Amino acid sequence: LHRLFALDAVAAGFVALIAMLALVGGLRLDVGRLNEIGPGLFPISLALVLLALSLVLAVVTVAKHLTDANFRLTFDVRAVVGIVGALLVFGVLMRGTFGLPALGLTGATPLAILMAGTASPETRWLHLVALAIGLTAFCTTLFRYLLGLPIPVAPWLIGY
Amino acid sequence: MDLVQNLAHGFSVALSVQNILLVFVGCLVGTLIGVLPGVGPIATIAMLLPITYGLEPASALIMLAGIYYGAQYGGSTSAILVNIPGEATAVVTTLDGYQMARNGRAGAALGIAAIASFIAGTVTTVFVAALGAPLTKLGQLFGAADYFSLMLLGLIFAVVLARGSLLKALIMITLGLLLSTVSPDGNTGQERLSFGIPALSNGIDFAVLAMGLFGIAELLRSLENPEARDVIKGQIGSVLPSMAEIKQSLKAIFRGIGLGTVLGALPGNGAVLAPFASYALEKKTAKDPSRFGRGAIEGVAGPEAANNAGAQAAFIPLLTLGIPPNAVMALMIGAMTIHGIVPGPQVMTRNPDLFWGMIASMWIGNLALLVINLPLVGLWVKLLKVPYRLMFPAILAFCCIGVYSINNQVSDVMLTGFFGLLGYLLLKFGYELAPLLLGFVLGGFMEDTFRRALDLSHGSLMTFVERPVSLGLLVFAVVVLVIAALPSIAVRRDEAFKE
Repeated sequence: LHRLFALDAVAAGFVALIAMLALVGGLRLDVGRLNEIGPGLFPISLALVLLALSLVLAVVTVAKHLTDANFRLTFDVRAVVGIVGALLVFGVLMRGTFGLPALGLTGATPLAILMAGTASPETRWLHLVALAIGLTAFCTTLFRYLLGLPIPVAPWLIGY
Repeated sequence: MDLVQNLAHGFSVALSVQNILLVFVGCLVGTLIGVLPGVGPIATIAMLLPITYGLEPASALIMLAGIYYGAQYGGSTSAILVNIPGEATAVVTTLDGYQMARNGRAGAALGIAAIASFIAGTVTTVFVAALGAPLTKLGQLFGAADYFSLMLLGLIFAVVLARGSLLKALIMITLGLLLSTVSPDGNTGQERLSFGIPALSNGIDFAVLAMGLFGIAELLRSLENPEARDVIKGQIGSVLPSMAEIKQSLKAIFRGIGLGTVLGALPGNGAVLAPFASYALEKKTAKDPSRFGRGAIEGVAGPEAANNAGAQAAFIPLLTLGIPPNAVMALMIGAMTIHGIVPGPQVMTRNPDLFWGMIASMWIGNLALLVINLPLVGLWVKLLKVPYRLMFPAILAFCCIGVYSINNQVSDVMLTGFFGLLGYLLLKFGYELAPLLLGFVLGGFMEDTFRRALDLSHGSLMTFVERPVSLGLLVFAVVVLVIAALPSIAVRRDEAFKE
């Protein structure tokens, strides 16, 4: 069935979902009055406008018969998992979230790079390991020691 | 004369040994990151923002200007050498720049891009300096209602100037505005739309959103469609264009500057349109339009000049009114705020060093580009030959560290991943991401000014039409929107963007 929908109809549906989510979150907020507008006025009215616009987009698409039987929406799951996963790896290992050890820059960077490697079928692992080591050394020197940014380097080993 | 005096003051700030060094280093690293295919100025600046944190405000912004010009030039370099634009505005450069490179004139294409940018930068620096003081005075006369209407006009411009469907651009702007309300309420400080997630309780950091949408989403897109990356083989050739080529380009450059300055000073990111407009103009006025698309040097010189002039003129609304007309300027605002400078018309009087120093540094940034980057072209070529399978993990690592060091928050890194995913989906659905970012940037300002305007008018919405400036701006916005939606114009608009 999903092939019957044109891209724009799916696009409209996606935005409509976001608008409804915002509405659910926004309805708890007070709208206030015009001479004292409340926290909810902007979120709620913008969510409503967004919902209305997405409906218009859906209606226009359907009314113009912009349906395409060959329409297919594909996603590169491998790339998404690899890249978003790499950000998560960096995020959780940097300071040790969710009970994981805090590895700091020297641990989180190479592991994130290796995780990113899974995103592409072309990855050559030996090269990637070399890159991970080299880049970690470079970034640690640059960001921590040359620029003096307060990034933990290896808390488990040297205490900062 | 005031202008000369002010510029001289600016140069006295910008020309300290430290600041010259900073602008050069900024230019160098900006190019280094910006030359990576698919990494445009927005992602580059967001990534490098942290390295300016330890500096004095004026020095930090001066270095950022260097990074900006470097990133911009890096984008043109990858457009010319590998046919992959770093961002939307470099698309035009791929048309004739890449063809020139294939004809063995890669060096000349890179050279004219830098020279055109430099000339544009020089002219526009004077222009910005000349307009700075009077427009700031004008800005001081603006009330809250006028500001609100001006930003609304800016958003309408952004919708009209966006590529593709007007409706979809409108949707993206609204989504951006909505995302900006994920923030504590300006009056009560009450958390809004955070859904109990601690990372959202203080709002979404602009750099995080920008990096997700323009860094990560772009990575995902490149991984999915591995473009043939034919780095130009063989000789790059001399980076100095021949006299004949310079002569051919000169008029195009000045026409490009004119277009870029006017469009760039508009509040709604008009700068993105400048290179397209310049290319179309050059093609139309050329004696032999068929040369375009086959390596016509005017097709590189004009758009590059327009691009740079537009980018620089975009500083006008930022410096004089405190309104960022595009995403790069929003990053500049972010940088100013971090250093405790409140953007707005008062910057010129309260921080004259910063105001005039920044204007002067634009010119120095352009000069640095010419002096250090052109001789280094060989290095950029080598960098572009690094296979993407090694490049993308490196880009990712820089994104991670850059985002983390903005607030030293790991939750920012994870949010970046989330917005990367969101951006990837939106791109899949055929949405443009630039209007979203602009909506997000202006959202907070708009809510503030709306609230203040209503406070002043005791809750009367009539204030927006009773104040003449506000009324004029609103009428202008409606006219622009109606004209763009007219069927005959809509068709022509589609054609203009196809070129």
